[in-house]
Amino acid sequence: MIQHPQEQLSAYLDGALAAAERAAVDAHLAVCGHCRARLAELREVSKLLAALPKLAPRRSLVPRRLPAWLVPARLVSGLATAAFALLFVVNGVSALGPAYAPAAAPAPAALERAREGPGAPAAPAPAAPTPAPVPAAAATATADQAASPKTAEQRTAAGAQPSPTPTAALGVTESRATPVPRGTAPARELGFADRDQQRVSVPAWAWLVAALGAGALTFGLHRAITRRRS
Amino acid sequence: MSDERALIDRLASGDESVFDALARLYERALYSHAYRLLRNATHAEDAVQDAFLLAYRGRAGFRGGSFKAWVFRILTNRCLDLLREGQRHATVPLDPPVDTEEEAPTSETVARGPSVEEVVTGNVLLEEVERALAAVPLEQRLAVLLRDVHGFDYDEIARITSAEIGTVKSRIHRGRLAVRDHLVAKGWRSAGNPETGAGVGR
Repeated sequence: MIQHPQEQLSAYLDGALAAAERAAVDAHLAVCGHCRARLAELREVSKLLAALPKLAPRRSLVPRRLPAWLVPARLVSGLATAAFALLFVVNGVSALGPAYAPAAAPAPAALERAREGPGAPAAPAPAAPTPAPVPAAAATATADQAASPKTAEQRTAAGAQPSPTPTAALGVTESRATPVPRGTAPARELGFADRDQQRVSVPAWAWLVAALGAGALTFGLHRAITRRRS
Repeated sequence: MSDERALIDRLASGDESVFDALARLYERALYSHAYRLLRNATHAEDAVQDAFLLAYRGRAGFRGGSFKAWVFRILTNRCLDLLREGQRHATVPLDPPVDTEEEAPTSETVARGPSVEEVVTGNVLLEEVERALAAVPLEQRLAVLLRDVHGFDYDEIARITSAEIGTVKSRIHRGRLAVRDHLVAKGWRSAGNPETGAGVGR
């Protein structure tokens, strides 16, 4: 009895047999119903498998190319963040420093020295709110009086010009309204109000905002890059 | 597909911009293959992404011929690596892993055998075929998938699986028999088989 083909049946089905082998299986199938039935079964299983649907992934799996500008953009943005942060620190420190350092304590001593005579070296005044009400009160008082020493004292306390002027009211007005030239000793003693008037560049907080904005941009670009690379 | 042929020729001659277009053509087939090997949607997605990256990096090695066979080989090797790694670390047996992902087919027993003609539109039998496949040992399952699901010929399968042709023949045959046995156990009867009863079982 001819041996029934086993594996050859599948290969026969798939057309993977050499010519001679194929002929032998043909001959066997002609006389063997059992093998014909098994061949039919194999054919149906094969068709069922071929009918299986293609499964779909939950997301796209094709690699996304990194746009060429992303990495350089992140670098520039990162440098900008660092630059803005540095500018903020530099400006912030210089804005806050002088106002706090020599401000409060020596003020009473300065007032005393001013009382002793005009022309005495002007001392740093206390913080902004204080000089304003003092000259205001002094102006009213001075207008009624003509006493020179008091005038000089008031003017010095408000940080006015070192030389006394003939009219008290004029002196007080000038000290409140006119910006004092930079670089002079009195100028350094001024409070916040005058400091801002001298400043022509960007305020410190603007650098902070810029640094935060650039930082957010850098972070966003970094996220975009790593997401595509993963 | 002449379009595909044109894309392949361009890739083989060094035009890498067509790589993504080719990848998109085969994305679902590759994912299906990976899923049926790994039985885990997340692992399958990762495997296909890895395969695309590996294929892109190695695109100079593609000299023409079947892009599909080339990329399937890369994916198959990646899946086998993942399975071996999983086997080393996990306690889950390699063969066959149980799929617990949300895509697990609903388990319905198949009523006594609709034949192929009746079932072309129906899904019940095909769900059972999927389950049958999951129970087939890995190497036989791989051979059957490549042959019957993806249509590769024996030579291509031998190259994809790094096996001898004789081994490929044997695995395909035994894999088909395993699927058949599972279906028969669930009540399936082949149409036109005079030995197992009437043609169309119900």
